[in-house]
Amino acid sequence: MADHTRLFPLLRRELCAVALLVVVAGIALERVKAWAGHEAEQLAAARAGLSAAEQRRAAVERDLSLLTTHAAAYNVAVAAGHIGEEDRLSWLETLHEARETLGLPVLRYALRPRTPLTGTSEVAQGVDFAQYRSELELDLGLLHEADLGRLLRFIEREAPGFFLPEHCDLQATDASQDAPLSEPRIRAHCRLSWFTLSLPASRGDPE
Amino acid sequence: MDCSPGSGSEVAGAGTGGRLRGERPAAALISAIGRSARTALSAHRCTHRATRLLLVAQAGATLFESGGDGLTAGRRFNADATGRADFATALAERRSEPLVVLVDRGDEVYRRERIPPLRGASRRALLTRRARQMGSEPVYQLTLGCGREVGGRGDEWVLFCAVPAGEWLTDWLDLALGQRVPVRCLSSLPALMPALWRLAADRMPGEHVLMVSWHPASGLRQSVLTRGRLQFCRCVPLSWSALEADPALCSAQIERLLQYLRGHGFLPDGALLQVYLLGVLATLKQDPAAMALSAARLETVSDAALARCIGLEDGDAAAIDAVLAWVGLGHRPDAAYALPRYSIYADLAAAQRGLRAVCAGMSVLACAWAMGTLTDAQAARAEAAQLTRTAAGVTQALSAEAERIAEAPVEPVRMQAMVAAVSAWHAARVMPDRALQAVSEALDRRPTVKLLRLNWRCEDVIRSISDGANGTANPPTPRPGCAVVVELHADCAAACPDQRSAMREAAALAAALRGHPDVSAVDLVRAPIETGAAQPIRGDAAMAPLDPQAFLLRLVFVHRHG
Repeated sequence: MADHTRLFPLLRRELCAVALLVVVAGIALERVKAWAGHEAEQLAAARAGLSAAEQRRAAVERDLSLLTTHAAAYNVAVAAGHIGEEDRLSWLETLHEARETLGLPVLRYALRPRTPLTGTSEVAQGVDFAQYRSELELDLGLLHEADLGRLLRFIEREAPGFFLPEHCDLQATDASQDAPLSEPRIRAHCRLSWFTLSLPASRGDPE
Repeated sequence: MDCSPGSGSEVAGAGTGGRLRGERPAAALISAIGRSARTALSAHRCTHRATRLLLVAQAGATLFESGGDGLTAGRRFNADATGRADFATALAERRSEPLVVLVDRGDEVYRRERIPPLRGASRRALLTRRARQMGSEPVYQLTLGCGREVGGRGDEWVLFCAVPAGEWLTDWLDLALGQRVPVRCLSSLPALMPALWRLAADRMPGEHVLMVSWHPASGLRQSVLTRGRLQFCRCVPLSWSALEADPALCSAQIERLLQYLRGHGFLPDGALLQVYLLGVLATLKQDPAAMALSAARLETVSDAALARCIGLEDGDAAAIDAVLAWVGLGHRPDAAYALPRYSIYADLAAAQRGLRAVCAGMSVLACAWAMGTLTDAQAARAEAAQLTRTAAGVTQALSAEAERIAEAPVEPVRMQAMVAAVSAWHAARVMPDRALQAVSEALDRRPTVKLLRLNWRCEDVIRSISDGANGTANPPTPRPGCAVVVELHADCAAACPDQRSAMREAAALAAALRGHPDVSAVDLVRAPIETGAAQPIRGDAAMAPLDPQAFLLRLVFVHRHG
């Protein structure tokens, strides 16, 4: 068995060389490892970048497809007044015009303030637009029950925007068949809901 | 081969205390000796780095020091107290440098033996056992393989050498041991002869070679090699003055050796032995022809050209020791330290081998790991560059489309949702005119019934809007917007004479409405008179039988898009 305490002084050059080799190799390996780690990070970043680019491409292709599919319908909806601010003046003008055109003895209206449509929070679903509703109460004096249908069709055709009739109550009056045409035979009370969509201010509401 | 005198003059001072510069003697030897020497010298230069060689002879010792670029010759120390003190001082100057001890002694013990063909541990055990049988107490023992027999079972001839113990050597070794100077190896000149022959093999061809060299400190050494393996070596302790007085002594010694070789079967019958004289003729200033060797089949070759080729000047006899020192620095014979106190050098050699193995292993592992890591890193780098280029290409290719999307009034997903919401509105809308038309047509068929009141309502229309436009990417499926319910109040008081006829009219009106394609259900909510078995009936018979004949129908309409 070798006496190591006697050997160490004789081996000091070799031991120093081994220590130096270990240190140099350690430094070199550490540098190599650091460089390899850096390259691995670069590769991960490049992969993430490519993945992001692929996702962007998929999103752009999807958006482009959606744009191609829905742009025309969207433009039609904007032109029809379904999207954007309510054109209340046009609505009132349409009501006045309808009374004159259809010869209705009585047409009184009450347009209530615009309110968000409860339960349709598209913002929460990430779509970021809101639906609004405005109630329109109509008190009508009709000569015949068919006048109601003609009135609603007139409004549908002439007024910008979209409405839904919710309720109509017709009641015969005491007017006789020989009464003048200015006296209504039927009294009607209807409630209509006028719907619009609007965008947040960030993107801008379409005009 | 170019043996120009100029190449020899470069090392003229080597034996007189000058410096053998590694580049210059190497260049001279390489240009003169040839490719084999060039390879050998290159290998020597690599192993000579910062090593010292002590050539120990009977009269004293010579210390050669080598660095990375050469060999310094000529620090002689006499075998007395002063010389040993000087040697101790020289050792202390560079204590960490290893020392190679080369013994040049005339009374070496040689024994040539034949051993069976063994390998590995068995061969080593046999050689150790035979070496111990040499009898004397040597400082160290050396085993040299002489080659195998061609015929028979292939026995191997082995030359056992031993250097006898004595103060002439142990004094120097003890000094190194006391100074803790690592002794890398201990060897003797015979062990170097094959290496010396290989160094000049281009110039000394031949299957059987006799090299005769003159060593001032010990005498005339004669080495016999067969196919490069040492077969026999002996040193005749002749003094310079004796040779000078009688130059024929040299040829006489050679003649004696030839007779011994023939007598002991070292040379096969008819074999050609070539004799090379190193430093001898130059020392004696004698013509080779004057050697007058008796054997007719021997070739005697002048050593002058060879001496110049390996860097020796004529008359510079000590240079052969320098060349042997140069060779010895790179030579590691299979020697064993016989004296126990020097066994530490064997342990040292083993430890050095172990450390070298560890270093080599570590280096290999580290290099393998580093190469693998670097290869992976290079591949990762190339892949990252490729991916980056691909990503840039994708991004660039999308720029026009992205610009077009950015110019849209709203984001496409939002646009789709808004269009879907509007579609849901349209899907939900039901106008009352269809129901009014159905009622009008039924009343027209029953003119006796008078309409009093009509209530039309679209139930749950707001909820249907909410459910229809859910804002997802998929457009909503059109669905019924509301359940249309009409409550019709009517009577036929003017035309019906009694309650029975009023009942008939109400039933007829309900039947007419049921026949309409848009009506799904008709319920008579309130009849002109309730006559059901489950209803109590109270009245006054004295009263007129015809009360107002009013009734109420409840109609449910089928949803149809208008």
